[in-house]
Amino acid sequence: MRRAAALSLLLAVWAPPAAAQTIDASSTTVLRLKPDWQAGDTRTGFWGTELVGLSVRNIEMSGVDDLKIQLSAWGQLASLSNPAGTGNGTTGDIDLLYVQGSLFHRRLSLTLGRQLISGGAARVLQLDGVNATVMIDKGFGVTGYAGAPVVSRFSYPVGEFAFGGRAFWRPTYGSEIGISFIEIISGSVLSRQDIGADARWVFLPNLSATVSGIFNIPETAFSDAGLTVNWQVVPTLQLFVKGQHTSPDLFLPLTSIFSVFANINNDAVGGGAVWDALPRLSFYGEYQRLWVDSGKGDEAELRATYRLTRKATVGLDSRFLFVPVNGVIDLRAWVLYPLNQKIRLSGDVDWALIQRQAINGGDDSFVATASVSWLIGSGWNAMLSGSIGTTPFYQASYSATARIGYDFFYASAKGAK
Amino acid sequence: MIRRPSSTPWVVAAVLFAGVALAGSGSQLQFNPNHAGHKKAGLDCLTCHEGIFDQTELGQPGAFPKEKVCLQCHKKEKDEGKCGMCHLKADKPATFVTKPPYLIINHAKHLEKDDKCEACHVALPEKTSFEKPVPPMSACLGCHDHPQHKQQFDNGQCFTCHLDLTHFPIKPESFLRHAGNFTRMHPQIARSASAACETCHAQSWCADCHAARTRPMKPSELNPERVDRNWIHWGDFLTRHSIEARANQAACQKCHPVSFCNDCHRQQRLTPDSSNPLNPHPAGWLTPGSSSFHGSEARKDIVSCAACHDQGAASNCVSCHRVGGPGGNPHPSSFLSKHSASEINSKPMCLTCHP
Repeated sequence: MRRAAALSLLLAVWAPPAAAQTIDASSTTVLRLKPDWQAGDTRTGFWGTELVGLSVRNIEMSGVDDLKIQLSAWGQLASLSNPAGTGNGTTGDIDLLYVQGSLFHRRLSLTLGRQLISGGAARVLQLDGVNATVMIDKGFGVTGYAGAPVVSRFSYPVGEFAFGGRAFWRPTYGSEIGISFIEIISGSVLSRQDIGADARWVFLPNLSATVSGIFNIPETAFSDAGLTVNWQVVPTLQLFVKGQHTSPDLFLPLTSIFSVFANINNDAVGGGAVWDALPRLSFYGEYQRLWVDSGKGDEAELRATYRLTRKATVGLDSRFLFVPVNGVIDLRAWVLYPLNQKIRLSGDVDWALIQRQAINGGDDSFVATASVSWLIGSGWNAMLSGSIGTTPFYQASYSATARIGYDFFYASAKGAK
Repeated sequence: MIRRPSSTPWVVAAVLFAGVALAGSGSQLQFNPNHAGHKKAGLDCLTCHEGIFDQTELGQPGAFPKEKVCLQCHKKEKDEGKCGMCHLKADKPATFVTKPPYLIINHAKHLEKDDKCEACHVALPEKTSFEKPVPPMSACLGCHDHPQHKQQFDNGQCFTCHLDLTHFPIKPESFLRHAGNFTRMHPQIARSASAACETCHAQSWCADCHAARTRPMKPSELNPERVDRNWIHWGDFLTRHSIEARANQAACQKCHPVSFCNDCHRQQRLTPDSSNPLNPHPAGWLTPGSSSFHGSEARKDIVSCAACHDQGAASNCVSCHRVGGPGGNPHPSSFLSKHSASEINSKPMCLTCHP
């Protein structure tokens, strides 16, 4: 009986791929060696991780369009307990496992299983449940979802049940207006209850704006709001301005005792530019003025990228972040250089200078990384990477990573009709 | 209708074989005809590509000429052994590489309406270039006889032409250009345009970063060779993390619940419930009036407190900060203006101190 059930399950899993027109499968094995710092005691740990992915798309089924099965999962063996505290050396989880399809000439789209809910007040919510989108007419539509929020591997109960939805209008590709709602319940107690409004509008092909706000109903305050305007002035120059407001305490679940202790407001206003000064040389710069509850701060980033050849690139990146209590200047230089069509070298040096308050007695860190990746062929690829440096937490920091991957892709010509 | 395999192992073997064969075939260009030269000689496209008249789907045979078509004019060159005139590897001449189809295009139907290839193929492949120009999307959308293409674009119905954008991505439109530090900018855009994102990016792409609740490692650890990417946790993020968190705690919390911080801090013996805990607080932490008094620090950054002390309503804060307790009223000054006494019974956190 058990064997028959297993065979049925096997056939159920194998049959759709047999009739499918597109199959993507991947296997990635990562071996990592690095120090683990625990209460001042540094030990070397080894982690072996296997990540698998399967996407079966365009499965033929009468009355159902875009039928798809998606799986993404991993397992890990570690010589030490996980730094984030899983408590033992063996662990694993499923990131995604869902079936998706459209019915009634793509009027109704359904996703069933472990999935990511994105957009509006949901932000990005990993959910075990169902998500349905109904396209009504003239770009109007409604999305609704319900299920259990995924419990993190750090055993944090976000809540037992979540539901929500979003009504939207998409007049043109890229332009959309929406209103949304989400509620998460933890042990019959409200953990989160937000409404949201968002809009993205493409005024011209080179001018667009995005505005959004998420309002916490129990606290009657905005937990998150933002505005971004993008203007592609000429093909080689893009300008943007942005403003952001967050209330981090409203990101705490209402079931946390800390939700009654503070009203925190963080605001940021800034702008920047992306400039392709020469066909090979481009610059990116951004500045933000920060208002945090303990005072004001500044954040800036400047990057220059130079293409040596079509696939060889060097870059310099500098980032400055100052908040009232501390600050950091981070300088990074990197290079990507293909030896040939199959082997690529990459290197990176990162130097962080801590301002004002030393961390763990140290005020800077330096890490250098070198990697070689090899496109073996027939879907196989491999990568070796090593890094060394000094940081305030490790007197000598080092890590070694080896990765081997296999990507399988199959597309039937039958799909082209 | 789903076709059930008569013998599953054979089907699996066939699928695997097909995959290996496809992957093994690679996408190396083997044949590179001189289109400009042919055009200069006054040849029509259909002289060589006659089979395209009958092609209803990409990938069907006949679109590319067989050698005998070439030899109608170039027999002399072949006889003289000048294989390199067309074949890129003259010592191992090979024919066109068959690629998996990525567009839904019925050439036969289009040519019935208009047999001018240049209506869509605005640029011809150049002999020296390895990147073959494909018709720009504007050529599809600008067809006045078929306004439905524009309508399909507006509705985001990419699947009407693009077979598989996940595997064959196209360059984003200028209003979705992924320039600069797009990693930082994309949350705002995705909040109201996630449908536009999904036209190219499958959920598995998002999950690489956004399944932080279940993922075992950061993207920068999984892909250390991609030094050109704007990974958030690049380099020695451990040293930077407390400063980054001060600047934007909400950004951390979007992926990491407070218990993420707590579990790691517990291992560093920084939390009150760890064994033989260390005291991470500065001098004056418990002294009212001190510049580092915990009350004023907590008002500024309650999320940092929660990173170590959020072990439920009965955690150490409430033992002092209760009605009549030495810690006094923990609520911010604006609290009473927003909350009425009637809320007490509906919120378990209130009942901890206000039974």
